[in-house]
Order: sequence, then structure tokens, then C-alpha cells
Amino acid sequence: MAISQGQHVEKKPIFETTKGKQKKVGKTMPSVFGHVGLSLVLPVLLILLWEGVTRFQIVETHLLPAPTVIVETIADWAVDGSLWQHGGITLYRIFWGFIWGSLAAVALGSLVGMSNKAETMFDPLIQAFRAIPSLAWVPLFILWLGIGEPSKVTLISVGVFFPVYLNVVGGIQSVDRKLIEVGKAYGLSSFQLVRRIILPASMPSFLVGLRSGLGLGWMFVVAAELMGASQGLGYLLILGQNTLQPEVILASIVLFAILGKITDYGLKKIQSRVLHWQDRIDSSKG
Amino acid sequence: MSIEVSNVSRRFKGETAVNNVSFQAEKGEIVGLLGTSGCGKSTILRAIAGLDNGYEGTISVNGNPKRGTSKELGVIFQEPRLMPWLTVVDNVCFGLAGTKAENQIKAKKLLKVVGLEGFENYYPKQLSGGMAQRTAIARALVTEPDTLLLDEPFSALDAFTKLQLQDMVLDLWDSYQPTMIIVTHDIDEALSLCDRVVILKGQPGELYKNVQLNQPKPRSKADPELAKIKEEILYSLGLSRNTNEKIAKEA
Repeated sequence: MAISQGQHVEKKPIFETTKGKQKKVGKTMPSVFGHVGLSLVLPVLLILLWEGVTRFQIVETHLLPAPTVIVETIADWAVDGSLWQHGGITLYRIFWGFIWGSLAAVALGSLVGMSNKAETMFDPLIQAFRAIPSLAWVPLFILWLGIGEPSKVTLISVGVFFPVYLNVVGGIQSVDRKLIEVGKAYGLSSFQLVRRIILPASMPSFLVGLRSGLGLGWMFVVAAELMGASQGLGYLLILGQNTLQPEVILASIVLFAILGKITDYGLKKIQSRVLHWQDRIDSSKG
Repeated sequence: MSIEVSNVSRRFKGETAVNNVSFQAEKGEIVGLLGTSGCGKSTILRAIAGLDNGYEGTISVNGNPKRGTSKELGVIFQEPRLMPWLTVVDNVCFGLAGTKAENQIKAKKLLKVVGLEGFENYYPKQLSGGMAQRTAIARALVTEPDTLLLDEPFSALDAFTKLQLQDMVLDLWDSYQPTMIIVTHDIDEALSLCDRVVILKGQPGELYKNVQLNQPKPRSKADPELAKIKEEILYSLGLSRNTNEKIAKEA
């Protein structure tokens, strides 16, 4: 009774505003909820469908476990501590791989971007290495660095390196010549030009590189852990396969998705904070 | 003598763009470099500014021959060329060397002069074309250069903003009388701002004529004397309709 009254009271003004010159324009909260709600419709429907077909035995549950089973698996891991152990080691690997890969890419990329000589010297070689599918390095890294952490971190940093490198070089080379001229007109030295114009101007491209580097990093951490690891989310994939536990595989896939999303979200936040000055379409969309 | 350009030529890949141009600008004088497009006006200005050092001949600033940029020169480009990652006030401070606090005070003072008070913390993306160009003018003035080089500074602006900014430049000139060299293809602009107009013509560009304007500023756009000079300039550039008609009749 109360609910239906509430609905009635709410409906009335809406009907009036559509009739007479929309009064409520600046109300952002409902539209945000509407946005999130709309984007949730499809996933929720799919999960319900999935749960339905497994609950009623339409598909075989030993091949496709129900979403609730997957959630239970993750919850169990959280309780017995293996979630933190496996997730932690995976994060550790990707963190160091990302750091080393980006550092190397920034160092080489800025050298190649700034100097024509360095470009003719290094770039062809780097491009040639880029043509090698990075996973082809795995046997060699294992041979050289053993089966422990160094070979995995190295593989991940190779994956992170290329997108960051390409974007750093591209970013530096596409800095507006006109802005550099302003700096020159004020008599800035080469070092000052780099610090005050080239660095901030190439920041957008650099951050795009970091984000795609991180994406590749997640791809490579899976590859590294699939091939000879005794810990990590990638190891759980193999474990699930060998012990015929699809819920283990799916649970670690879900964890990969969640962690990948969170880390990318973090970088995206940094990106929009650092680049708040950028004149972009989505900044005017509101 | 503030600026002296003597026998300056510039070739681009064997092709001559500017041929043997000489002119001077006295201290406090406003000189217009006028010509049709492609006659090398901007090339000469870039040479004076020190942004292009591939020319032949000599350019002296305050009696000292130089190549390369100089603190005595301020440049205002056709586009505002603001750093998009800096706020308006930080953009104005861009060329200043002193401490941050001092610079901010100077910049704010100048922003008030160019009519941008209250916009100090805006970013370039939030500015209109005219506001951005005012910021660029403030950036050039804040270092108090004794010569200002303006490369078609108002050509990208709408007609009203253009008139406003031309008046503003004249006011600024009144307050500290810098030497100014203005590259323009707008005869009205040259006639309302300049003490002398240097006309370049042809391809490669050569110096064609010096037109002295002694009328006191601010000048009325409807001054019949100026209208006559305008007609003469148009005629000499081969752009006057009367002359074209005359030629058509004769043919």
C-alpha cells in the first residue's frame, strides 16, 4: 500500500515535467544510477541464465560449474589463505615485470625519440626483436634464468616493454613543433625544452603506453605461470585442468579478470588526474 | 635603432623565398610588414626572432648583430600556442626566470591589463580564441622585451575580437612604447596600427615600398587620407579593382 502510494507520488511530477518544459535538468544522481544500472542488465541476465542451466542440469556441471560454485571456491580460498598466497605471488610478478619493462622502455624510448642518431642505431634492432613472438623466449629464459622468479619477471617485462617503448617514442616525436618553438623563442636550453615542453606534451601517449603495457603484462603473467610454476593464479589454471576441477579454472579466470580490471582502473585514475588539462571529447560529455 | 635588417635573403632547398630585403625599425616605432601570401613576410619575422638561422645577411638588435633568439625580443604567433597543461597564469609565467611568487604577481598584473582578471586558473581548453590570444600577448609582454614581433597575431580571430585586440595593443604600446614589427596581410590592420608600412611583393619576396603614416593614433577607420593610402597600396600590390577594370578596358 505504502509502496504503491510512493510510486504514485513519484510518478506525478515526472508526468508533469514531460508535459511542461522539463524543469529537472541538473539532477545527476539518478542518471548515474541509470547508467550503472543499464550496464549491469546484460551481465546479470547472463549470470542468472548460467545459474539456471546448471541448476536444472541442462548442462553437465562437471564441465561447467554454476556461478555460485565458483564464488564458493573463491571464498574457500580466501578462508584457507591460498587466495592471498597465489594472488600475491601473481601480483608480485606482474609488479616487478611492469616496473622493469617500463623503466627500460622509458630509457630507450626517450633516447630514440630525442636523438636521430639513436633512432637509426637502436630502432631497427628493437623493431626486429618486436617481430619475435615474445612467448618464443620462454624456453631460453628458463634455460638461462632457471624456473624461479627471474625468468618469469623477465618474460613479463619483455611483454610490457614494447607497447610502452612504442608510445614513448611516438609521443616524443609527435610533440607539437610550434610549442617547441615557443620554448626556443624564450631561449630555453635542450634540457629545459625536454623538462618543460617535451615531457608534459608526451605524457598522454606515455600513459596510453603504460595501460596497454599493463594489459600485455597480465597476458604474459598467465603464460609464465602456465609453464612451470608452483604458485600463482596461472598455476591454479593448470591445477584445475589436471585435477578435473573446472571451478578452479573458472575461479582463477574470474580472479584474473578482477585483478586486471582493478590495476587498469588504478592507472586510468592516474591518467585522468595527470591529464585533466587535455581537451577531449569525453571531458565535455560530462 | 632598435631593429636593423640588412640584405637578408633566405633560400629553401635552392628556391629563393626572400631576396635581399633591408629595413629598419626605430625605437618605439610600429612597423608593419605587409604583403600577399607567399612573399616571405613570416620568413623575415622568423629570422628576426631567431627561430630560423638559415638566412644570409645580417640582423641587428639594438645595434648588436645576432643570430638566434634574444631576451630583448618577444614573439606573438598567429596561434596562441599556449601549453595546454599549464593554467593561464602559469602560461604567462612561462618565459620568466625569477621565483614563482614574484612571477605570479607580475603575471596577474598583466592579465588584468589584457582583461583576463579572474581567469588565472583556467586551462587553455576552457578559453575562447580571443582569450587564448590575450593570454599569449600577456606571455610575450611579461618579460618586458623592448621589441615585440607579431606574426599575423589577429588573423585567426573574428572581426570584433580583432578590433578589440588591436585597440588593446595600441593601449599597451602607449603604456611602455616597445618597438613592434607586425606581419600582416590585412591592410586595414596595418593602417590603423603602424607608423610605417613596409610592403613586400613578388615571389621571391622583395622590398617594394615604404609607406610612412603620420596620422595620430587612434585613427578613424573612415579617414579619407587613409582610404587614399589604402587604394595606393592595393594598386601597388595589383589588387585594386579600379586598376583591374582599367586593364580589362584596355585589353
